[in-house]
Amino acid sequence: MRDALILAYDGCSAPMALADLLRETMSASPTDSETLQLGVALIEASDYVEAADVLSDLADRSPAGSKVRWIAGFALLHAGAAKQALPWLLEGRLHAQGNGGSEGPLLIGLAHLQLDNVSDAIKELEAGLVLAPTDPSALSALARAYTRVGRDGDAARLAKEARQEHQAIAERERTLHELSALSTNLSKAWDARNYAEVEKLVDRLWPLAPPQLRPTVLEYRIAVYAETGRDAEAAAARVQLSQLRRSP
Amino acid sequence: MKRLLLGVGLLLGACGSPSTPAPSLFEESPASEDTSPSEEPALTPASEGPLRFDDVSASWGLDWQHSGGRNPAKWLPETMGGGVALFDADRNGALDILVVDSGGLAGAPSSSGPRLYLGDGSGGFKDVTASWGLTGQGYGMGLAVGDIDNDGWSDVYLTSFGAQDRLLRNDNGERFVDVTEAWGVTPEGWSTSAAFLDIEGDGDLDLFVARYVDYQLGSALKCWFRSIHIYCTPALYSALPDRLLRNDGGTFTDVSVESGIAAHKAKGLAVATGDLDRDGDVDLYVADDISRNLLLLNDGSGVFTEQGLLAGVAYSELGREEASMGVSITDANADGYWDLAVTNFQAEPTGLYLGRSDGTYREQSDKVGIGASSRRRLSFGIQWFDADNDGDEELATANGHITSNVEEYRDGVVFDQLNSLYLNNGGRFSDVSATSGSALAHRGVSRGLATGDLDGDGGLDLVIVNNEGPLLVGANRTEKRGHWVSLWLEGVASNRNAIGAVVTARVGERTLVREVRGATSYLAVSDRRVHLGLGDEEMVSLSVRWPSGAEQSFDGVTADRHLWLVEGGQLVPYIPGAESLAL
Repeated sequence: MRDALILAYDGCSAPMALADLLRETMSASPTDSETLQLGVALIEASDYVEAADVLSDLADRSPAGSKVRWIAGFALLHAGAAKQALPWLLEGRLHAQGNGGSEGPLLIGLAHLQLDNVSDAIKELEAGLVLAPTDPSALSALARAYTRVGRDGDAARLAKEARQEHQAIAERERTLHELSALSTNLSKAWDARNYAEVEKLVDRLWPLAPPQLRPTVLEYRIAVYAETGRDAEAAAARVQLSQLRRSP
Repeated sequence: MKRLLLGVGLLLGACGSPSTPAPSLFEESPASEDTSPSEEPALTPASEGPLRFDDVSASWGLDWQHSGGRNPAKWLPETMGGGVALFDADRNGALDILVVDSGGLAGAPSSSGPRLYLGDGSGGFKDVTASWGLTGQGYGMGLAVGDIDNDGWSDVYLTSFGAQDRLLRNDNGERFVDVTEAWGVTPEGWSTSAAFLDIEGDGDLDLFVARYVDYQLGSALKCWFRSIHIYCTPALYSALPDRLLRNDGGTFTDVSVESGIAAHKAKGLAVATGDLDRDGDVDLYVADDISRNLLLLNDGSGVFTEQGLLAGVAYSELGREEASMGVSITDANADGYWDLAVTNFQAEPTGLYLGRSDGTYREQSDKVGIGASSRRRLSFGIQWFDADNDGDEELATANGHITSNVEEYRDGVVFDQLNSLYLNNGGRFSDVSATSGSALAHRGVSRGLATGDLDGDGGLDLVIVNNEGPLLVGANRTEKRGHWVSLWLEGVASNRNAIGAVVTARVGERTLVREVRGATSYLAVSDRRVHLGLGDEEMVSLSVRWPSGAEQSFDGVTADRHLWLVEGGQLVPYIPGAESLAL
């Protein structure tokens, strides 16, 4: 039962529930593997203080440069304990390969920044930005670091880039949300044979739809024309669909 | 017919948030991930903790109920209101309560409007809504309070969804008169929180209005999680720029563009005022939903520069946008620098940005003990207040999810949530919500939150508006409370409400610094009187820096009194509710 629940929580992105389950069912003398599993679950549940508690002893016993130490350093940094986190992050940086390898420099840079080692922070963050030049987290952190050493022009430039990246991400997310909502509403309107609503939704969807969805949107348009006896318009839309399918 | 839904579903991912993939080990949980269970405990009032707040809503005659007009269409504004202000409307020294209702949308019955309760200073309240001329109009959100004409009577600005904000002038403490048009106020869009502040130090109060998103009922989409109809995410809608109105003596002039305010479009929900860069003028911090938060630094002439990112208060510590709902400012760790507490969405912490000497901030919510428990709530209203009068300020948050049927698609996440109270132990915090009395045992969709000494006993009380629920009043019955002093400041050369005044108190070996703020929290105004907890000390030395630049000092001030100070004058003791205080 426990294993089935763990699989379910893990598979359905329920990190807090998974962490609670692991915590509650932990044996009195857990194995290193069980401790690590709980620590990682706590990190995924954003309970960094407890994760750092759980993982610190294990990391102490683990070999230098091990992944456990990197993970413990990660938890400690998020728990606000940059001083304890930094040595483990530095020796475990090879384990941080996410986001084009920029995660290591970003987290180590943030740790340095929190400890007021601003020149070390800048070195790390600049290296991270080379690997992920549009990452808004790295841009923001480096902008903050430049501010701390009076490089106001560089800081302002990077801050502007970070804001623009966030804005671009928000726009993409907005489009996805709108596509999702419009498509669901379209399906429901179709099921309800509310063809006027279908047509309205198709009109709203068309300019937003990425190329792979456009044929399906057009199929709805054809179908609604057919259902409402607009044969000429349906024929014209069929031609458009056929052109669309032939286009690269 | 091929299902378009499937195509979009593939784009968006599944089994989790409708919008984001499952979090990786090295990512913060995004706001929309929303997977932290609330773990709501049983509703057994417990008061064995260090703080105690008794639910006195009924016994104090405050049986008001907010209506949000929830509709099967699930309009976005429905779970966002309402607001509350604690201020002295009739100058008898006792706090009064003004609550803002929302009402109904799209032809549904509209709200009965705001409700005003006059306090007698000892916990008795009388509903004077009708005699003060308050009526319903529009879909209400929150409010700001300030004396716009410096006549000694506090005026009110009501915010709304649908461009129906109103400016109400307080006519000699007898009634409110609608002066929206007369003062040239032309509301636009969806306004949320607002603040009065003196942007250029000319002695009159200007008005900042936070605005949210461009949401039109006519074109609003229905949103779904799988086949479950849910409230749409605000990510679907464009941000509206905030507005700044300059007081030109009898009229307000929109200076949003020339002041630099309009240049920053974000989804504004809350605002706090304060001299955040310690240069003697009043700055602004705006908490924005799923967009960056704004730190707007005033150059003293009413022109603002946005510095949130560089100061480290725009995003999370990792540089991610959060869904911020409320903000409150104090010097939480008594190091002489202002600290910001910012409420966020479920699975995000209530951010605690600790100020540093160089004007930057460091987010430390996990380190000081707020992070983990606050991620289990979705928080809106927030307020620092010294609940036990020991000299440091506790933190209260008003919690409740935004989606009425979140239980249908999120394991362990609930719509009605308990509110939170964090005890401050010298800059480290413990969550004492579960042991702090019946007022903290109410589960609801809490929004506006304000604090003030409603019964004049020297203990700060809590007032919380529950969306589509009751007004909750928590009387402070904390057993071990320290000595205190309450200071009501009135400007002469400065604005009458003394917004921007800074009080420094020498209490034994400690120094406390407090500021009179135009706004904090979410859709709310707390008591502006400066309340200082003195612990065991029975005397205090006070100094006041007025917005005009004038300074006054007082030594050997005796504790446990309400004191009134007019700029340039002497401290005058008064008893709340006992008499009208002369203009």
